[in-house]
Amino acid sequence: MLKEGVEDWRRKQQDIELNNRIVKVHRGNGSFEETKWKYIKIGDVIKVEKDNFFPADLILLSSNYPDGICYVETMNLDGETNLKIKQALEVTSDLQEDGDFTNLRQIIKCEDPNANLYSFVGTMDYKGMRHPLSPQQLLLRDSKLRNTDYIYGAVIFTGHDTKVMQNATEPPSKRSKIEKKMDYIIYLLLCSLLGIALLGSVFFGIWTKADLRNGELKRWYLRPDDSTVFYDPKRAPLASFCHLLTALMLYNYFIPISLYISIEMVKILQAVFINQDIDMYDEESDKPTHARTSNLNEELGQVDTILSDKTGTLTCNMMEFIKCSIAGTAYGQSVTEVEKAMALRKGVPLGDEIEAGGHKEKQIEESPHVKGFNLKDPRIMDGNWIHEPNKDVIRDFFRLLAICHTCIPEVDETDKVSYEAESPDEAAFVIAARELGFEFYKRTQTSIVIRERDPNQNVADYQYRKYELLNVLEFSSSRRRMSVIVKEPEPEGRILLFSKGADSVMFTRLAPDGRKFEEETKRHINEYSDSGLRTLVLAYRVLDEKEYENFAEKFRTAKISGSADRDEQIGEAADSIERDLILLGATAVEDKLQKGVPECIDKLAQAGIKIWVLTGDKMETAINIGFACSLLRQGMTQIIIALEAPDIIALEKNGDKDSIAKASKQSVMGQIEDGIKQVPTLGQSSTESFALIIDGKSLTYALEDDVKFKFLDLAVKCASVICCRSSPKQKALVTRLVKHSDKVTLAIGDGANDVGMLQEADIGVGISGVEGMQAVMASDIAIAQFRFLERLLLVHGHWCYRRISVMICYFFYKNVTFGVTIFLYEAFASFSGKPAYNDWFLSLYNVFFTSLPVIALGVFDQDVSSRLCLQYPELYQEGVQNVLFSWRRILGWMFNGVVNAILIFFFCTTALKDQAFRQDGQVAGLDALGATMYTCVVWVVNCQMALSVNYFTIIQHIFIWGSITVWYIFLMVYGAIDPKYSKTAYMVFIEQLGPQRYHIGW
Amino acid sequence: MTHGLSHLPFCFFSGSSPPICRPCEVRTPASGRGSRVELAAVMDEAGSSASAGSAPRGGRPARSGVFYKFTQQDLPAWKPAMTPGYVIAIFLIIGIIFVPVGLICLQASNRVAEIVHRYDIDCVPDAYRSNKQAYIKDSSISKKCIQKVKVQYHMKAPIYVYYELDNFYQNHRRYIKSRSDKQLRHGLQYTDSSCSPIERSNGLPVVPCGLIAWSLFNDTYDFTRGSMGLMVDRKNISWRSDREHKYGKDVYPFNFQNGSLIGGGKLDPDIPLSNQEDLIVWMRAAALPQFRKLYGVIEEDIQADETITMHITNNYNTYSFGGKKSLVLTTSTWLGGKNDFLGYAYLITGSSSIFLCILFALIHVKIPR
Repeated sequence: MLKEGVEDWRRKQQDIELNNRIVKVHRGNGSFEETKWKYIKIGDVIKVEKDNFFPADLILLSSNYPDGICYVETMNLDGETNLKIKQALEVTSDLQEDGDFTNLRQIIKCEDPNANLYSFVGTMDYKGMRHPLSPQQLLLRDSKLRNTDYIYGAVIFTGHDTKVMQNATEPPSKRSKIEKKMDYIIYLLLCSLLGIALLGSVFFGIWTKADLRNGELKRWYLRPDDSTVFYDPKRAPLASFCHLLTALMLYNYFIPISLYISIEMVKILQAVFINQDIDMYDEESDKPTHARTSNLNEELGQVDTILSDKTGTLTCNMMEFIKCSIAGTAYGQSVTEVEKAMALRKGVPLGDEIEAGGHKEKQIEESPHVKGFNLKDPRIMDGNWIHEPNKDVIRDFFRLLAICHTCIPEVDETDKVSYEAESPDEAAFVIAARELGFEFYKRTQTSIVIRERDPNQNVADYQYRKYELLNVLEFSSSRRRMSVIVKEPEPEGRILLFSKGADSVMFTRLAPDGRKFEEETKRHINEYSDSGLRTLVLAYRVLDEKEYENFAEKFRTAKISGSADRDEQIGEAADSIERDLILLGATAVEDKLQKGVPECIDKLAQAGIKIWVLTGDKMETAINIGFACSLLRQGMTQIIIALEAPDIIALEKNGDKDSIAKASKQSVMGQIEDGIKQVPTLGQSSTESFALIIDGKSLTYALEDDVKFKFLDLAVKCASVICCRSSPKQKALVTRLVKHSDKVTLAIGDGANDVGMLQEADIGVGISGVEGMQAVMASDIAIAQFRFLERLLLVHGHWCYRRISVMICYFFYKNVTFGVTIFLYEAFASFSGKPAYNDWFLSLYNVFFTSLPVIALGVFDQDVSSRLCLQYPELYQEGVQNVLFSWRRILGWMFNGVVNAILIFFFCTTALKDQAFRQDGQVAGLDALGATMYTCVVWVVNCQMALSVNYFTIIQHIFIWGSITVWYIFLMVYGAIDPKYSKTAYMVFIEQLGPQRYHIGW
Repeated sequence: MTHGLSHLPFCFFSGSSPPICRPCEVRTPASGRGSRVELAAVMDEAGSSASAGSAPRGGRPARSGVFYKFTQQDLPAWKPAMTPGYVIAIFLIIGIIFVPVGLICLQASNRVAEIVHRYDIDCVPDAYRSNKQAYIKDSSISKKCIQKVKVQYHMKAPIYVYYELDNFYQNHRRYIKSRSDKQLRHGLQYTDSSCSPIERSNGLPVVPCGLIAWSLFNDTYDFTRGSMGLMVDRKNISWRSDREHKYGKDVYPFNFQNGSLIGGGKLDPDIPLSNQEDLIVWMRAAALPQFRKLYGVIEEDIQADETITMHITNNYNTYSFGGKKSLVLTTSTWLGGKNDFLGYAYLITGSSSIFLCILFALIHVKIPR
């Protein structure tokens, strides 16, 4: 509780910090004042400067660029680090100065606040004209302005109405399944407590009533004729009720209140151990694992499904240019993760893999590794390409890479160039080009400058080539290619079209005489994609002036047409020019997986954990990654649910929303049902396993109430599930859906877009990587790398689950044992409520004599070492199937407690019955019996602990045997203080017999 | 208890996927210098000393030493694995120890000669047999009663004399709380409400107060052997600590048994409480409704076949609640009085563990794991 309070307080501090950030707001007459975020209102015009976050959802009015574009980083929204371009309406983009806003009147109408990040509809009335607004003009809160000096924007949604906040879910207070079950045990014990208290009260009432009959005193020594209400035979029912309250107090040992405290302590210590684990400490980023809440340690041992984000979690979100095929020759010798994983799976340690590994390390020592570039081939590196037979093609190939993209270069003081790219792929291309001597140097609105290094190794000798940028034919998911049209610098002065795109679209567009290397290239591409690489085909074309003029005209009219089918017109225009291409080659880029991801996933799969990947990526990318991290394997049947049927696309064009929804849903339903039919029922064993891949749009429908359980049905039967193009909200919804099946879910992610998922899941694991801290703040446990998950679950989860469940069982056991001895004694004291033990014995039972060993068990016990945990992931199923905390196990422990108590009680009373127990002839009184019984309980309970512990370090020995010793010491010290007990201390010597007897009898 | 063990045999032979040896994938050090003990820590299960050598980096613990092992949960540990051999051995050892101990206890118990004589019915005259309460409440009737017992075994001094009550709840909460330790130690000014309902009588405090003292047992016993009297020593029958520390030497009974209802025995107001050993013995509450309390010690041997005459004054009313009264004469050994239970318990435990040991051994031989 206290802990949660502190966490809440920290959260509040953050909120306050956020609310008090400063932004410039228009205050009339063209003056902008600095204002705190919290005072921003809808309709304000604000000015956001470079590298600042947007304080609210804005409509972009203008930027420092004349065409009203700005670059936005949406890392906090979708986890993508690339820059997105937003563009203001043309009519507003001329509002360049503060003063322009003096007499500005606009009316913006827009949709109600909703959670959809990728859609927006609205209109703007300005200067008597109505203009449509689209997501292109929408700047979302929590995204960041990059590469743009400033922008002006009109606030449309603030605070909780913003799309980000709509996507946010309440931070829940999480409790582990074990703790929830523990509540039921408490209820059970509460009932049995009430039961036995009631039983005692009834007997007490009967006996008390019998003490006084017709003025005759039965047990006269109790003076029933002169009694208080508690023992009054004339008011026996009332006395009985009073007794019930006494009994409830007396037997409260059934309810281990100290259990909650002990568990809390144990969990905190466990968390400390998790934090301390050197094998989960990332040296590179100097980040250890950080268990932010310790509530969920044991839940880590019961995870059934892992829901993982992709970007930044599985992958580093870093593309590496790793191979290429130029003019039919394959370059690049590096080994990809997938190849390594495949080799490993086959069990054949590739000879050249080891060699390559060794080679790689040498390379690292020789030259600093260039981010995004991992092409190793002496034939083309260091300017050697000049000696290759197809050196012209190679040169064109890299020039294309340096030109055909939308990256923005940033030159720092030392003349080193770095790039801001819309996608990491593109960054990898330009970096590759740079490394090979074709450095993309400068971009203006109309030109691209490339700095070419002389192949003859003279570093200082640069040659600047300025290409005139004529057109950019942008990438879209339907076109699956992008092109640029440039004019070469003189003397050639040719107009060139550079194009790159997916192999499926590119090969059909080649000119008959441009297919020279088609065969080889295709073969290479297949090889590349088999090894999990993303491939693109590069081609170019020389345009003659006339043809270009034609195209340019068509393109321009299409662009300014502003009609509904504008995109189509543009597409058509582009299509007409992107033909008769000449093939240059193909690139292969590796979406770099994080270290150890395939191995980790493999291990987790062996442990029987299902892994779902929820990603915002395109389907192809997601599938590629699936293969790369051994989530998908060759020979798996893929069930793909997507909405790309022609009839639906046709419907979409018509724009009738209802019918689209209806048809889409129908289609998704159908696909799910087909899928279920495909998957054999669980009884049948099949060698084939299934993978389900579903895209975001279909997911929307699949998550609707009437479909979702069918979807879940299908999904749980598949070995892996990949959801592509999913929004943060969808991620959370999927998580909630999986939780419905009563399985423990673990979500892992690193970006702000994963926050909902992390909070929704039973356990949220944040990756404290490069992206912001949002995910970590929302997570329960933060780790530095995905691969640490393996150790976190298989070792710590397994241990913690075992520890906590045994600990709880044991706790109940020891208190039941204690409570039952008290109850049994009551039965022999006519249920009058006299405890067998001294008051101090009673209160110290859970404090000194039995608490430390169980805490030691909870903190230190290990059934098998961490090495074995990792070696035999199957052990993990123990937690998933909840073997150690099943009702059978719990009740078994309690039964054990009852039996122990009965044995102890009858043994002690019989042994100390009525005869003298010492040579001097004295008999044992109540105090002697009490102390003896107590000793027995302490022994038995601690010996039982010794039997439960699998792992005796010095600590366990000290605690277990120490607890027993402390009892004796206490007995003696306490006896010395109070003369009342001075004599009872030494009778314990004989009584060691008790537990030993038990020990075997049990 | 199941240990992780039961799972392991399956794992050892699951060859479908060759387990990846973790130490192999330990991250490669960024620099080649400095010996990495981390690897040793993973592999080193037996806990052999990992050599120091790497300097602690930036506040992280050094990768060796006890503290490091502690934080990595890799302390040297004894991991008892309950193999059949161990289990059999443990049972055998327990059996070997317990059986002789049991025999010794049993033998000690057998050496004790004990006579238990119930007299509560025999001492009621035949005329009152149907209404014993009337008899016991009528103070005009003589309560003297003579009983004879024949001693069967030689009883060696000291012989302890006990009275035994049954169905008497000295452990009743109301009863056991009704006393004032302060008053017993320091005198009547400390009388407090804890003694209720026997706190004051006729407006004056009662010493000793409370139900326990009030219901003091007051049967008396005298013994004769033939015509000779048998001395019963009534000193030193209570715990010494009680006499010395819990009952005041200058606290005298006062206003005791003066109320409307007379409970049990009376006390000589001239003897301080610390010398009223009957009271002290009685005040030490018994644990169970059947109990014995020491009455005195006979310091003479009694031969076998001798007849002992017991002169009882049967004052104490157990008839209203149906309790039994018995007189007990017994000798004692190092183990105390006669109780076979302890011996039998040891014997049974010991022999059953030997039996189990043999059973397990047989199973183990037949079906070795």
